[in-house]
Amino acid sequence: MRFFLTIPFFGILTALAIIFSDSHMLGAWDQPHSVAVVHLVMLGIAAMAMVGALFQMLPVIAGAPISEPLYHARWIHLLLILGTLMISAAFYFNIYTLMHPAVPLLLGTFGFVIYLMLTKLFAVENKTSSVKGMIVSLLSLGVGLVFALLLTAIFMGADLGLDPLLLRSVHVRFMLLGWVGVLVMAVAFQVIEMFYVTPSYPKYIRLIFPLGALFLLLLYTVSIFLDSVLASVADILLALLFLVFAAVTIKRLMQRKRPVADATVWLWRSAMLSLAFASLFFMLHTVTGYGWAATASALLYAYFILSVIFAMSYKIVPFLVWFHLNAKGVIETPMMGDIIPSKRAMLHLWLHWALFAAGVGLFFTPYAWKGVGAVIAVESILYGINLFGAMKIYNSLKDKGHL
Amino acid sequence: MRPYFGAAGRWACGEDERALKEVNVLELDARGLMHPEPLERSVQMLRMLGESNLFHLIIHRYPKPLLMIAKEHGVSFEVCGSDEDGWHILFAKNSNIDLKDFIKRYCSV
Repeated sequence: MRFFLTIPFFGILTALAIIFSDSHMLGAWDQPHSVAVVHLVMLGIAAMAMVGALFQMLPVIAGAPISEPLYHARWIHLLLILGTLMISAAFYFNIYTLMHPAVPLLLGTFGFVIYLMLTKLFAVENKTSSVKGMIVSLLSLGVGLVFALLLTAIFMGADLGLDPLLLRSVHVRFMLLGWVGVLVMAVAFQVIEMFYVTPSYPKYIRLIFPLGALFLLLLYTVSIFLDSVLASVADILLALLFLVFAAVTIKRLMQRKRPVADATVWLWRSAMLSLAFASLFFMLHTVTGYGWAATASALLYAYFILSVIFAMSYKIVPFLVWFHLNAKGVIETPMMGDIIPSKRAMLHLWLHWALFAAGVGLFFTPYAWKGVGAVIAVESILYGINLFGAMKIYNSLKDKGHL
Repeated sequence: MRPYFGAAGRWACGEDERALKEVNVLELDARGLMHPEPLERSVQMLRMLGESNLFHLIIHRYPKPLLMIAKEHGVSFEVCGSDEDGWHILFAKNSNIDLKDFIKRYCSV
């Protein structure tokens, strides 16, 4: 839970970073403030959610329990916080000496997470498509980290004879698509069917897509350094893969047994629609070279990540509170629906849609970034209230169990 | 609740001569129920378990978290089935009840 509880704080930091940045600079992805914001979102929000979810899901979904999970979670969490704050501050305030402790801290911590979880996942005997997807995701994280290391070395003055722009493009793809994107797929294969009682994903998607994404990422990597047109082909196929995944997920959600849609259903729909349009804009950018299409794709992809994180949180957090209280034998354990009231989850949904509206404003004026920052701040505060409310329930009841 | 009457000794294992002559079976068909109902209703049924009853759950997905809760509470269980056909799970607090024998009624084990 500690990972999820940290997300609102990084959400507020992200909001402040956006609000106090020069709005005209934020859309330029190689500007330091933009890089800082990207890392606040990817490390402070997405990574926290991904690592927290993996800690919970490995035992339940993959049947791969982590030994001494609390001990490992404590220090991984602390080091991730420190590393994220340092690397973001390095870019935001131009204090590049902070990269010296930040990079080894983050590389070491993520490296350990990869080792810890991969060893458990490889040991699972009957690997489901979700397990295979988690393996691909963690391998992609590893590759992305290697390229991050190479980029940092060049940034600090090393001459590796490699084009940093190419290194960055590989780093971004492995992190966004291979790590986050494939992990969302792997999780969706289980939770969409489990939470919403839908038919399972088609076999071709479960069997081929995660490995297909990894293959295409590797193809892109080799091609881009050979200056081959195959790099663009790989990009288009990757976008197509995620577009199909998004479309199938939307279809599955329409096939729910119970038609009543709660906030999480709408969050998943928002996530998949953003992913679909992000893929389309990415294809457009690949074919035409239009910069605005790349920006639209990136922003929509970020919206997709946030939407999935919120959708998952509003199912996972009440479940965790309920599960642990029941495991302790607490008779007064509330129903899951009472742990985070649905009205507050719906309010968050409306705020999240307001964030999308604020983002649309970016195509008219860069000053819309201030609005985006403001909405992220309010959304993060509400999200924090909802999560900490759940923790309050847990803390007030945890000692009342008969076990 | 559906009372089950069996021949004495047929479904009670162990050396306990005071084997139960009847076992009540609490039934819950959770197939098609949306999260979190299957888990919540199953836990409510687990709390109703005593020395003379079983809980028979039919569910569309293997309920790992529920089985973890049952284990924490010292409730034994026996499982059969598949994701395609559904899972049959028998729970009992009374360790003298032969769940392996009971489960055969639901799956050809």
